[in-house]
Amino acid sequence: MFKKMVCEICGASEATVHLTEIANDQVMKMHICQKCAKEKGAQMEANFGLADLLGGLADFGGLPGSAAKKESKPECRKCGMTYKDFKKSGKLGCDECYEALEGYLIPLMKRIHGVNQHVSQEYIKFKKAVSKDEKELQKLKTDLTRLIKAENFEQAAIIRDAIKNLEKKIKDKQ
Amino acid sequence: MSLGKNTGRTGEWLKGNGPDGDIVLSSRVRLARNVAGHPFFHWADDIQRKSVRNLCHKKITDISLFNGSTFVDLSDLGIVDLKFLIERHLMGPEHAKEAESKGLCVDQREILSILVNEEDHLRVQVMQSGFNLQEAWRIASKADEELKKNLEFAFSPRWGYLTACPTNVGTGLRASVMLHLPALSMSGQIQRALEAITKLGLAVRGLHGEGTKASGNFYQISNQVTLGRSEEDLIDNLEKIISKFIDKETNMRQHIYQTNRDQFVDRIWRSMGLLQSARIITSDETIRLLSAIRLGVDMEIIPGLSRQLINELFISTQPGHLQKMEGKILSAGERDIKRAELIRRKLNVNP
Repeated sequence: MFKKMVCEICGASEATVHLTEIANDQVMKMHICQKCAKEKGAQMEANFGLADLLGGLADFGGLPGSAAKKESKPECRKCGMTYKDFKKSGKLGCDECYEALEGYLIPLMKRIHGVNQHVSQEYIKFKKAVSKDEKELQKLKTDLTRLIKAENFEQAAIIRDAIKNLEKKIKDKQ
Repeated sequence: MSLGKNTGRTGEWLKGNGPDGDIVLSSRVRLARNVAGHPFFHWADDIQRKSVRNLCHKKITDISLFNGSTFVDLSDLGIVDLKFLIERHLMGPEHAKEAESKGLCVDQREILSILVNEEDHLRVQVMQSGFNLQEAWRIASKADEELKKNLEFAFSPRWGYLTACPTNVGTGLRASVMLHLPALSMSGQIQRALEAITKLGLAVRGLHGEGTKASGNFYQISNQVTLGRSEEDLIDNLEKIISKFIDKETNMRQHIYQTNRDQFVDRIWRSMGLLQSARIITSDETIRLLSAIRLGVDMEIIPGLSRQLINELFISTQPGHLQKMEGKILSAGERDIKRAELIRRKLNVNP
């Protein structure tokens, strides 16, 4: 006669439910009783929400080679949210998280929305402003080369500072 | 807020007089916004949450567009009041959780409501009767403009309006339409149609929004994608799909009526009979039977009943409304009796 299997969770009742779980390419088998299975089922259901789905997507689209250790390091300097926190709740902590976690968000947004760039009147204006600044930057850089060649260092120093300021302005907008 | 005055009142969107009101119960537009520099609701502590609520409350009351609106502190409300607000679609069930630092602003006609400290600091919501997303968007956009003058919103050129959940980022816009599709449901075509629309960046939900199942043949269809397209584009896309549903449902109603007339009419009048005679009735059964009656009214099979009356019954027979009307907590069994009484009274039958 076969020996009765005992539940691996409570260790008391007979295991009549046999679960196969595949996690991280590992196949795990569990033999549990009806009562524990019900509890585990309820747990799974309670945990399985939008956050998990987002977490799943985020996992898949994470930075190449990003280790779990790195995920617990605060990413957002303002609110202290880590990538791990984000994966858990599916929600960001503050407005600055979008910049801090951008590397993770770019592929994630592509998965959720199909794109990763907002389109609006503001954005169109912003694009125009950037191209205007960039044009100005190009002009200043040409001027600088010309002035250095002409050994007009006093004027070149002024242009160099203007380039620095403009570069910062463009960077800030991005 | 004296919620009492809302009890006997009909929200504008329930009047059933909007475009395509026979198939579309309501249209809704909501915008998700956050105040720049403050942590998002779920990540904020109690003090931060309350400071956002107080700031928003102050700014909202400063705006003349919201004159005459009522601002409620949800911590002042009991469970029945919260249920009442959810049933009237002035807020979602999510907003009733952790109510101590939440707020709600509602205008007199229940067209515009502003939820403070839901998942995002502000959710501006506009409801319209029938198929009228354009008007809902116009009102929401105006409210948004006014709020923007008084509050700095979290916004980035790359991501648009920044929201707690990345699924709302960009426009922060969710447009949704509540459809009554009994004929498509009867014909069994509904499942395939609904599956198809999820592939078009749209979502389907039940009568009471997120996390609810379809009941009474009501389906709420909304946009899922919020990023990378303009608000007008998102609304236009949804309108086109909804128009298809309206056409299909209209044709199917005619088809069923012509091919199975006797069974069809019988089903509607039997539902009427049950509602007119029942002494005990559950909320589920009520919704199912009212759905049949609404179809009967819309197809002029049942004369002398207004669509508004049926729309109102969908809401006033809900647990929160029944308890609010009675002014006390009722058990499920007591509610079933009160519900049956209310229905008989409204459907003009001697008790």
